[in-house]
Amino acid sequence: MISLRELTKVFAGKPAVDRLSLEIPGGQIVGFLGPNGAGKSTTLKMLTGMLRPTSGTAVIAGHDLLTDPLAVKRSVGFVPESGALYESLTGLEYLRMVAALYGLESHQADARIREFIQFFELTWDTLTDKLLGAYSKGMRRKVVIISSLLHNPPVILFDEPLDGLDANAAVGFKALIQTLAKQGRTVVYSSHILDVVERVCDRVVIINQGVLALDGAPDALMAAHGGIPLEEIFTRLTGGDQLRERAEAFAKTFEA
Amino acid sequence: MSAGTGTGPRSGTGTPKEVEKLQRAALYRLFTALYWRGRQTLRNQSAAKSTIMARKYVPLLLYILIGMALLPFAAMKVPPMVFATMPHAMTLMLAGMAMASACGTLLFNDQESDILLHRPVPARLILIAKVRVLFVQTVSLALALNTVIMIASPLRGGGSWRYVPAHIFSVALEALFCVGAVVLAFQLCVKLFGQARLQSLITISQVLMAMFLMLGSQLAPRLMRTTDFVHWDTSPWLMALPPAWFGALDTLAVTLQPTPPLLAGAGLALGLTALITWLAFVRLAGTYEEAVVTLNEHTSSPGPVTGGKKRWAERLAHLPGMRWWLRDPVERIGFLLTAVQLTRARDVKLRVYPQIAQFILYPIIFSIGTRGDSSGFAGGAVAGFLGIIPLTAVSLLRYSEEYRGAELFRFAPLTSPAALFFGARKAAMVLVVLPVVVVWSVLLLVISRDASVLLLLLPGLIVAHVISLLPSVNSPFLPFSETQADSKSMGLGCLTMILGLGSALAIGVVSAIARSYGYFTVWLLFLMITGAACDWVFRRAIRRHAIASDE
Repeated sequence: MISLRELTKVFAGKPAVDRLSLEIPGGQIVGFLGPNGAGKSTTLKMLTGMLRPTSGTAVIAGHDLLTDPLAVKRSVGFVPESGALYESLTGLEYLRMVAALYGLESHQADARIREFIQFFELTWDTLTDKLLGAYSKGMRRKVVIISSLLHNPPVILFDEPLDGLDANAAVGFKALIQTLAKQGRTVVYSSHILDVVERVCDRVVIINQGVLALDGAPDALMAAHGGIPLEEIFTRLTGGDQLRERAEAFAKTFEA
Repeated sequence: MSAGTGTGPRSGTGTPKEVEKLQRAALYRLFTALYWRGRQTLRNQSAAKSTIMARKYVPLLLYILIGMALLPFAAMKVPPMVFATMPHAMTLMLAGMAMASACGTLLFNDQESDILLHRPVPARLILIAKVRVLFVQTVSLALALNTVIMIASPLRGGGSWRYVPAHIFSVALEALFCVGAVVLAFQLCVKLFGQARLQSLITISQVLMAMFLMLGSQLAPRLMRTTDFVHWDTSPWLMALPPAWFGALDTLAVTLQPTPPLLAGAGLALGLTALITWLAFVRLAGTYEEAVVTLNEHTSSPGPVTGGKKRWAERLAHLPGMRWWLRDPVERIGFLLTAVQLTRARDVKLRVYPQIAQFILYPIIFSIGTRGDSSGFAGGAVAGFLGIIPLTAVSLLRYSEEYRGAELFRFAPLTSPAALFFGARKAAMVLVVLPVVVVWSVLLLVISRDASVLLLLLPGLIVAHVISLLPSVNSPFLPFSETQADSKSMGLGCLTMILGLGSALAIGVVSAIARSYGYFTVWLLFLMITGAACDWVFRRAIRRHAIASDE
């Protein structure tokens, strides 16, 4: 479903993503991890056609990103980390607008939106009466997630999707993406919450400074590293060791 | 809950043409809503609906009323070309400026990339939808402005009913010209100077466009005044100005006498509008897509702020004199925050600089078409406008796309926003007003070759100092704490602006008269005493305000 070959993005002479190669088949949930500034969001933005790769190729759902970006965009659902939406629209206006951009007629869009709001425990009145700027953070996130899935994309890219969701919504969402993967969809899940990734994902990809650092199934990776948890593997790989010692030393500066 | 059957995308159920039709309609609805509501919602939901209605219809009503200023021309015995050009000059200035000030944030919004750029929509469709919105709103304002003159025209001596349809057509053409010119200016800047500097180019091209619109609209009536409004065809430069081209179209329709100047003007109106439209929306349409992607790249990885750039504001605040002027630490924070926003935040720059740019060429504009002491009149007039510049700039410093950042001041141990306001106002004085004063001084010196005319700027500086306090007198002023949407609201802010404009202009006129009759020193003393009293009263009022709660 996703095939990356030497994908590279350079900003001002510095590689943000450096020759990244990956093969992700349909039906797989891939946890896409890395410390801040590792190149995760840049990679996801390239896969959605928002950024042009400096070099390399990407084929998504059978479409070449460079030669047919619109076909790629039709096949991808994306939840950006920013959770940006137009705050001065109502939820319904926003979702109808997004549906129309994917070619859904209003009656098709409304039927689909009703299915989603039932699942996400929103109400039609909330969607019609309130402007998005007045929504809580969790409700806004739900609308962004709905907008990414309205068109049944075969490839779904999530960048910190749980940010702002309450515990129940998060549990429901995790179950949803597992079911979607079973239907054959490819899910790329970028997050800093490692235990969620560990539980939900079939495979973990860690990038550091734009370079692929680790790739494998969570269980296999933990077994290969002597049974330590994913969080510890991550901190070791990304230079985050001795964090506890550093935190204790820093906390002493508060005692003065 | 089922997520749907099958793994294929649902899009594309219609033909590509049907999908594109849906996309066009959705984008047009979206940008129309954003144009009127702003990108961030009003936090006061109950006020939102009425405010949006006010935003839609109050400007139209206001423009109809302003259009009444053209009525004297309907009563005057002036040649049809003069009568036809005047409304177009006013239209270019008011409707054109309104469009130019809205287009920067509408055309290029970096928050938009996360919402729209990953959707299967060509950037060309996004551009077309935005241009449609700009065109429709500009035409609405322009027609509102011309409503009264269109009613009056057939009734005047020598008037004709043909003026009405001809004028509707020429006003629509003028609106298309304005929208096309603004979009083309952006695209040419990107083409000529490269995408790497897109962020600053957007502001620069909008500033240039504001100056062009002001110059184009203000020079035409003044050039005609130099010929007593009669022998307009003897003014060689008149046909270089857009209002004359569109006026020529109306005149041809009314007089049915195709003289060479009229044919030339009408030809320019049709030809240049067609050329600009083709260049902006067909030939260079791809540039917009490149620009939008570049803007997204900039958002994804903003360029590093180098040491010199990063610290210039602090260095400025530490200069001798400035250090004393900004001795209050909170004022200093307000100054530094504003200085940085005025140079780095694109939305702030787009809001402030084009508004100020329209005033830059005033000394030139006021020196043309004035009988007698033109430099004295120009000096007096610009002195009046000197009071408007800080009032405009400071009023706009309330608003920011980063308004949530101002939360910091709500939970910081501050009792009043006064010091922050004073700091922001000082930054506006140094970074906005001072450069304008320098440019005006140079222009006045070049025009008059008499250094004494610069004395006329002194009343303006006194007025500027006092009037710039007005935005915080009635209500607490926390810099960059309100949404962009609020910046379009009309009400007390508008009233303050009208009062400020009126008093500043009156003072400018009185200054010019006082200088002519030898009472300038007395007038200056009077202004200083009155200014000091107003300053004391205003500051007391400003310090009484508590920081408003975030509701």
